[in-house]
Formats: sequence, C-alpha cells, structure tokens
Amino acid sequence: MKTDEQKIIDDAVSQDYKYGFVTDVEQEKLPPGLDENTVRFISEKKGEPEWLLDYRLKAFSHWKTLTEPTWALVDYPEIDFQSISYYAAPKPKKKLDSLDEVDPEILDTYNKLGIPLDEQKMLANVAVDAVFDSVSIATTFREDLAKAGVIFCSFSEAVKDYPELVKQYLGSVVPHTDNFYAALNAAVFSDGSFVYIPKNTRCPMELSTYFRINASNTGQFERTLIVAEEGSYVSYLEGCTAPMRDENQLHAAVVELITLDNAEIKYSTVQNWYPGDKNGKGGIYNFVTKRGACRGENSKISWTQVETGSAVTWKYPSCILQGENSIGEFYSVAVTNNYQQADTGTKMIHIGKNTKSTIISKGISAGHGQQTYRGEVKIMKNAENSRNFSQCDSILIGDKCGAHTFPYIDVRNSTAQMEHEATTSNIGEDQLFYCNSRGLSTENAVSMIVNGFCKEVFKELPMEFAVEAQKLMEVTLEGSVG
Amino acid sequence: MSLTNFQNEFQKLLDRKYFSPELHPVRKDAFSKFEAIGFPTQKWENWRFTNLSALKENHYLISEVKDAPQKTPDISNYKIEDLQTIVIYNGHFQQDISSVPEGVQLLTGSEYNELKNNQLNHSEKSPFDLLNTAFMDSGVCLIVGKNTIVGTPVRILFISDGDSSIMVNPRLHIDIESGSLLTFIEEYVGNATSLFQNEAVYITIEKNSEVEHIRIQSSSENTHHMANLHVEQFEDSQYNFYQYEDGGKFSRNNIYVDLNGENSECRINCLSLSRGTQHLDNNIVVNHNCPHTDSSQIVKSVLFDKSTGVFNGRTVVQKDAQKIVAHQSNKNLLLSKSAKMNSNPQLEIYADDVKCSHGSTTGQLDDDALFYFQSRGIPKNEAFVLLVSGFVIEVMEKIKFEPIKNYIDKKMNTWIA
Repeated sequence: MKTDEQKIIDDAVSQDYKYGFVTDVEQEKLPPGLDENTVRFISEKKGEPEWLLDYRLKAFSHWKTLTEPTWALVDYPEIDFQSISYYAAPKPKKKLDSLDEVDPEILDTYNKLGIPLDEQKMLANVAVDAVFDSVSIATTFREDLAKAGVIFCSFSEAVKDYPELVKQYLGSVVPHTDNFYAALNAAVFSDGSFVYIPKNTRCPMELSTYFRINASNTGQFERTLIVAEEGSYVSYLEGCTAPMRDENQLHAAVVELITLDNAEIKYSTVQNWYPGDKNGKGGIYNFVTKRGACRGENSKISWTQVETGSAVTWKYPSCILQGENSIGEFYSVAVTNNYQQADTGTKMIHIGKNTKSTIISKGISAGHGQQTYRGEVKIMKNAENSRNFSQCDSILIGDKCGAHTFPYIDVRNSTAQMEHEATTSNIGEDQLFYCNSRGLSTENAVSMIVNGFCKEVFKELPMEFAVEAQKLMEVTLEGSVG
Repeated sequence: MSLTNFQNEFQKLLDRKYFSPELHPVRKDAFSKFEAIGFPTQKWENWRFTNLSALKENHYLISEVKDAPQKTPDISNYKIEDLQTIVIYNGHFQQDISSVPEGVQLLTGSEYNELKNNQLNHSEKSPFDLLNTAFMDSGVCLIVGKNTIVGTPVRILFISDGDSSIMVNPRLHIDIESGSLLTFIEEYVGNATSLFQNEAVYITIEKNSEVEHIRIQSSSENTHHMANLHVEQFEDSQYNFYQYEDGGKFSRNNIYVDLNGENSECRINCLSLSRGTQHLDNNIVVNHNCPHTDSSQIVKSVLFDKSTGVFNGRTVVQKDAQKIVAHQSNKNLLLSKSAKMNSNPQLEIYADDVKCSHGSTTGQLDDDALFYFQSRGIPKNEAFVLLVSGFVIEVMEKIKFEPIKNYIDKKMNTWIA
C-alpha cells in the first residue's frame, strides 16, 4: 500500500504544466529598471492624456515611500524591482483591422490554449479580450456588444475613447495608496480590460479576458475596471497562463468592480499561471488586489476563483457593501502542490443596512504546498441586520504540506449575525476504504472526494469554466492520497 | 506609564531588601530586554485590537511596606467551603491566614529559585512576561510530589485594595510531578482605585498527572490586568482550565499551552462578561508539538454597553505531530449597539493526519426565543436573564469541584441580573 501511495503521489507531483510553451514573436521590450522615466515611457507609448500620466506619477512617488508587506504567511526571496522589465509587447506590424491581421504566431498560441479567439467559434458565445504580455491583442464580438450598448475593450482603448468614464472610476475602489502592489500597478500598469454595462442592460454574453505572460524577465501589470450601471448584469471570466521558466516572474494586477443600484457583477477566475517545477524553481508571483464596491441598493458582487497555478499567491478579492441590501459573495477553491504557496481569502466590509455576505473557501494542500486562508469580515456600526456566513475547509494530502486558517471577525453592531466555521483534515482512510470496497480505485476515489469537496464552488462557475476547472483539478492532484 | 517611570521604579526595587536580591541578575536581564523591545503597539499582529494607551498614561509604583495590610485582612466575603487558601494582599504574602492542603509543598520565589539552581523557568513571549520577571514580587510556588492525589483544592487569593497607584507582579510556579492530581484556583478581587496587575503563571504537568485550574478574575473596575499563563504538558497528562472573568477596566490574558507528550490533552474554557467601557481580551495559543494530542477551546463573551472584547485563538500543529484532534469555538453575545467584538480563531497546521476545526459566531439574542417566553407568560426581563444564563452556563459546567462551581454560578447570576 505504502509504495502504491508513494507512486500515486509521485505521479501527481510529476504532472507537467501543459501551458509551458514559449511563443516566438518579435517583442518590443523595455530594458529592466524602474524610475520616473519608465513610467513616462509607458504612458507616452500608449499615447495617454496628461491626467493619467499625473495619476501614474503620483502613484509612483507614493510607491517609493512604501515597503513590501511581510504579514502574509508566504516565503520567497526578496524581489528586486529594478531587475524587472515593465513593458513588453509584440512588435506592431501595422494597425489591425480584423483578427486576420493578428500575428498568426499569437493566434496559434491562443489556439493551443483553447481560447475561442477565432470568430469561427462563435458558438461558444463568449466575447474575449486577450492580453498578451502587457498588451491587449484582440477583442472579439465587439459589434454584437455595441448593439446592446455594452463597452468591452482594452484599457488603453477605453482611455482614448471613453476618458470620462475611466477618469470617474479609475482608482475609486482601489486607490493608488491602497497597498504596495496596488501602488506599483497604478504607476506602471500596461493594459487590461474595461467593461461598462449601461442602465438596465443584461450583457448578452459572458465576457472573458485571457492573460498570457510570454516574454521572459517581465512583469505583468494589468488593470481591469468593470462598471455596472443601475439594473444591469454581467458575468465576467478571467483565465491566465504563462510559459515555464526558471526565474520567477511578477504579476501584480488590480481589478476594480463597481455596481450601482440593483446591478450585479459575477466575476470568475481560473488562475493557472506557471506554478514552478517540482523543486519549487521558477513560477509566477501572483500579487493581486481585487476589490468590488456595491455602491447601490440591492446590488451584488460575486467572486468565484479557482486557484491552481502560481508559485506564490497573495490575493484577497473583497467586497465593500455600501448600498442597503447589497450582497457580497466569495467562492474559492485553491490548490497548492509541490512548493506552491498561497495566502488567499477575502474581505467583506459591511457598511450599509441589511447587507449580506457569504464566504465559501476550499483549500487543498499537497506535496510541500503551504496554504493560508486569510479573511476579514467587518461589520461597521451602521450596518444594521447584516449577515455573514463563512465556511473555510481544508484538505491535506501528504505529510509535508500545511493548511492554515486566519479569519478576522470584527463586529461593531449588535444586530449583526455572523457565523464562521472551518475544518482541516485529510482524506479519511475510512472514506477511501469505502470507495475501494465499492470497486473504485484509490485514484478515482480521491478524485471523487476532492471534486465533491469543491462542488459547492464549482457550481458557481459558468458551465465551460466549471468543466475546465474540474479537469484542472484532476491534472493537479490526480491520484494523490493522504 | 512611560518607560522612564518603569526605569525609576526598577531602580527603587533594586534598593528594597524585601525583593530577594538573589533574583536581581535575572531581573536585570529581563528588564534590559524589555527596554529594548518596549510596549507592544497595535501594529504587532497579536496586539492589533488591544489599545494599551490608558495603561501607558497611568503611573504605577512598586508595592511598598506601607501597602501591606495594617491588620489581618478579612476574607469572609470570599469564603468557599472545603478548600485551603493562600492570601496575597497588594503583593504581600499573608502567612497568618494562609494554608496549603496536605501533599502540596509551598515555597517562596527565592526558595524555588534555589531549588532550581537559579534556572528559573521564564518566558519571553511577550514584553509583559519580561516585565513580570523584572518586577516579580509575590512568588508562590506549589510543588506536588510523585503519585500524590491532593484531595482538597488550593486557592490563591489576590486582594488588591487601597488608594495608592501600585503595580503587582505575582509569580506562580506550579509543578506537578508524575502520577499526581491538583485542583487549584486563582482569584483576583479588591477595590483598588488604581492598579496594574501583571501576573505570570508557569505550570508544568509531568507524566500521568492532571490539573484542574480555575481562574476567577473580578478585579476592581480600575484595574489594568495582564495575565500570562504558560503551561507545559507531558505524556498522558490532562489540563482543564476554566476562566471566569468579569472584572477590570482592561484585561488581557495571554495563555500558552505546549503539548509536549503523547496523549496529553488540554481543555480551555473561558467566559468573559463585560459592561461599561471594559475591554476583555483573550489570546490563546495551543501548540501541538507531539503526535496523539488533543485540545479544545471554548470561549464565550457577553458584552453590554460600550464594552469591547477580543478573542485571538491559535492552534498550531507542528510538523510530524500526526493524529491530532483540536477544536476551537468562540461565541459572542452582543447586547448593546455600542459593544464591539473581534474574533480571530486561527488554525496553523503543518501535519496532515489531523482533525481540526473552529467556529465563531457573533450576534444578539434571538427575538423569536424572547417572544416565545413572553407568550408563555414569562416577563421579558426574566426571559432575558434566562436566555443569557443559558448561553453562558455551558462554559463552567464541567468544573468537577462543586463548591467552586456554585460560587461561580452565584457570581454569574448576580452579574447577569
């Protein structure tokens, strides 16, 4: 039995990262280093207006006063921010009019990744904005969306075409002073997606962004801004991959969501950045600030995340529940294998009356993985009758991994009702034995138990993503036995 | 109280004969470490919700001979049947009215130090541990020898009275040798108008032994109370801790338990009742350093008025400490709009064959339940008291020694009413 177990664990651990190829396209890349000129260069390259450059410079000068946060339970060598290149883009051949003109190499990359960038795949009915290294490559389904009045474009285009909207909302949820990485992002962000859903509009299709880091030695700093006007609804998906490299690469994104009265945003992420090899070499540092503000009454923001990649993850998608009766949700599955480390969770800040939040977090730790759930639920003085339910469960697979749970619960209103529950355990021998006795191999049993464990979160994902997430879990953990 | 004040007081202490001079080297070492670290600030992760500014503003003096009682203190108010009491008044040991049960050896701090060849067990986990070592005054050391079942519980009663602003740094060492049993009670009472109480308790439980530890904190409403409890357990030992707390303006309990032997087990039960502007703070760390160890934490708070509470509970399962069962439960009842509670139950787990869980709830009384009582003819006030008593009763229920259980029940009911 022991050797069997060992073999199965070894198999799981030796699973290759299948998105680890490099695309050979001509790159335009800034040499490593970060100073005011870098910021100016990025801004100029993108032909940005004066106010945005000012915003970047302000953020940069604030960033210089900050030090890297150390409170997270992750361990990585200090990052030299001067050795990173802050801008990389496929060299533009000429202005693109349609998808046909996108560098076939890049299209090929996305095909390999299974992204329906090609409009032929219209059946998939998903509008995609693909970000390659720092630059948005193509956005599909533009016209269909325009008919509904939905704006879905790259961030740089938004700055050119809808400066007023960007100006109004940029940094209003995650100000440039928020934290170390948010400040860095505000200074050097290169591109990202912008979504605007007008009043009383239900976005006719799922929107999706695909992020890909291709160039070596670069950081990716994208910025996503989604605004849902009164009575609107949008479901947004995000996926990410990167090639295998020995050095660590930094990804520091900022996502801001805003919902007004009766609006709803559903934000789903399947994060599969390169996690490093089985000795913990290489991989992406994923330091992301995601936050949504439920500004209006009855508004709702729902975060769903499946985190399987990255060497180090530091990510807390949060909701600020300002509007009365607003709802915040957080569903998460995080997997750490080999030497991956993840410190992830959420923050729910209840400000308005009758606000509700739900947190479901499932952590799976295997190999030498270390995983932390860190979440805060804060119920402010005026949040009458607010309600929170949190459940954080962890499964440990193998005796070298760790799972930690650090919830912070801060209640300042007596009418609030707040519940938190967490459990940590391994897969029970009796559970496995039972499955074995019903004719399931240990491998299938583990896969079934883990999938059952994650079901609550997977069911929140849009169909296509749920299938992908389930497959991803199988690849990452196939047959691991505790 | 600023650092300079402490420095002045420390100089004074070194000159006083009744602070055993043979402990001075240990004191000096601890004090210099304290000076280097300073007071915790709210930027320290474990002290985020604990505001020490009020403590720093006050000026406390070491307890002098004049602070000792002029006549034998009257302890009839604190009478509990069937137990032996050791009385410490403003940091001064009261020999006349103190006694210990058969099987327990009572030593003073310096005697104990001599017994341990100057290797006094001391912790540096928090600055207040260092401060206690530097200023330790009333040393009470209880030793229970091998295979001794102590039938009568022993209580250490700390009375702090008077108008002078003093600090008391009691130091308790409880050593239970293998195969023994002890029930001991710490009780803090008094009417001191300004007091800083900073006690440190070190408990060592050897193989096969059991300790039932009950702590009653009903200090005066002007007391700043800091408790530092360190428990070390070995194979097959059992530690049951019950804490009832309703006193002090500010109280923080730092409880550390190390499970260092297989099959050792600890049960921590805390109940905090607060009103006015009281701040009651429980900081618990249980370290599972060995396989097959078991722990539970049940912490409940009831908060009235503008009082605030903190629960910081951490269960750590070290690498290779397999077959662990650990549970944490924190339940809080907020009975006023201005009351505030911070609850941080934490699990830090480095082994895989474990069953660990925690739960935390914060809320108010159930309106439906209140309504049901009223519909059955029970007035709202009574219903309220019944519901609150029902909420708190679970915590102290398992105390084995009946008289102390009744004593606490009485205190609890008076408080709620």
